[in-house]
Amino acid sequence: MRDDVMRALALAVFVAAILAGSAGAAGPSPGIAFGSPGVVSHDGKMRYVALRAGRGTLVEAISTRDGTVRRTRFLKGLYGVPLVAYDGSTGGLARNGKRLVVYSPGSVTRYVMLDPRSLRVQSRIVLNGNYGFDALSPDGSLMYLIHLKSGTGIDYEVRALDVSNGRLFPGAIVDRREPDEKMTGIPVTRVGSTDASWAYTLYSRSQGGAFVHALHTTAREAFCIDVPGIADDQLSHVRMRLAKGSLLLRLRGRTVATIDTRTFEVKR
Amino acid sequence: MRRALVVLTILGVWAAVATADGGGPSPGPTWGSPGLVDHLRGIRYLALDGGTMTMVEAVEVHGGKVARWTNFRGRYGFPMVAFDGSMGGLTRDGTHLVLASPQGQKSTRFLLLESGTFKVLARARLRGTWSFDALSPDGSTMFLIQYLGQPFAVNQPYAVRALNWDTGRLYPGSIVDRREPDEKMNGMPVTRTGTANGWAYTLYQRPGKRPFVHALDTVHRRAFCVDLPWRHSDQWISSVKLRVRGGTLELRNGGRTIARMDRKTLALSR
Repeated sequence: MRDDVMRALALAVFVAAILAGSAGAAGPSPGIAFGSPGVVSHDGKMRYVALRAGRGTLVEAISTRDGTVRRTRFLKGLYGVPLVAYDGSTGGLARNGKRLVVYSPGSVTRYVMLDPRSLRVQSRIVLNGNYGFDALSPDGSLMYLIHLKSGTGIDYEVRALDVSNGRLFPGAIVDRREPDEKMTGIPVTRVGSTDASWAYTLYSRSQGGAFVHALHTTAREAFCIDVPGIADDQLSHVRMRLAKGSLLLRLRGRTVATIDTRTFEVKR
Repeated sequence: MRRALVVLTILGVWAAVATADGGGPSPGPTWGSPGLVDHLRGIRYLALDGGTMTMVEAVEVHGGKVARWTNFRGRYGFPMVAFDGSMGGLTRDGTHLVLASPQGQKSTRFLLLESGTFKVLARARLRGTWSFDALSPDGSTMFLIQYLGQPFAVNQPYAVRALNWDTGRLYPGSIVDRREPDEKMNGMPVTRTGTANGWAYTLYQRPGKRPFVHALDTVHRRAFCVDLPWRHSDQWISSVKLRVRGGTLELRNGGRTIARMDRKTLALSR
């Protein structure tokens, strides 16, 4: 009982700290972010931010070299850069640099796809229901969403959407090895492969423990990898790094778990 | 015809630098980059058009992170003070900023902001068409250009005025060269440089007339106009830059010093 209270307290503080700098709902999707850091292009040359401007949003492309604002786009309504984990990791920019996604969460979720080079609106997608952003495929043609199935924010599923027609693919993206296991937990931190074909997210389970959600962003496949042995009150400090076919989970400069990214075998 | 081409060239350069408003003796406020740069703190201040709002933001020069931002109702921009893109509106110590509304309206508005918080410290609303010219080093005095002709007319007469930000009032009279108090000011600002102790040197072009340097002492509210000897300079004067070196103001063109002005005696030499 005491452990449960401590765990709940640790997570509450963690989530509250993250939410202080962002706008969005607690739960499996951190929501959206206004202002910096925004999301940075793969080559590191451009930073994209969304800033609240009255009842609208100004999306900006800012040079990281000299801080000049190269392009802006005003959108009616509040749209933010997607947060993908509570450590402040952001997403929404396709690896090929040809799509930027901003969205407005709520009971109706509105997505706006922009061309990062011009910030022109490519398309808009409106979904009935609460869909948080999860990831983009490298070419931006597939978007992965966190669908909150209930108001509690505990019960959710990962869905894939075809950006070209704005339609969801049938069924949820589940680990086929455990298709009946319900997704629960909150995303702690995220790292992606260099080619953006994999998104690895460390989740803290609501009932305790941790797992890494490995999402193959081109194949619409996912794998859940349990990571035992990390104390719940330490999870918020864990960061991940990819190195030579391994996903390293690091805590205060020390590797606490290593996951083989081919076999998903976990070593401590 | 040549004169028109030169004017168009200058206006073209100005338009390429940023989105600005106004014409005549001042380029007016601007939106977007380059904005104002506080080199000491590594911060770029930008005003952006956010629909019916103006977005003002502080962006880190290295890395491009938005350090802070806010919105103001209405349209305000950071003042451009010469058609080569020279900007004004940031005090020497980087603590205060001035935003100006567009020209060509019944009234012109100015905001004095604390740059660290974007808190509005003071507002000024002046009847007629005005534009920003300079700030004193501590930001307490704002120098303005009061349009005496049509807002967008080129080569129109104007007056330099000073406003006390502590009282929000204009000082009586205009800032003139007391050696030639009756000479009407006109011309277009080509380029600007300044000094830490509050001198603003502006090169003005006057189509068909000799260019001149306007030396404004922003601490003591006095100005001097120094005529330059080049009567037929319309074709090249827009490429001249100013540089302060010790007690000398250098006028440079193509990397070469073409004239020197003694900052104390205002004497010109080659």
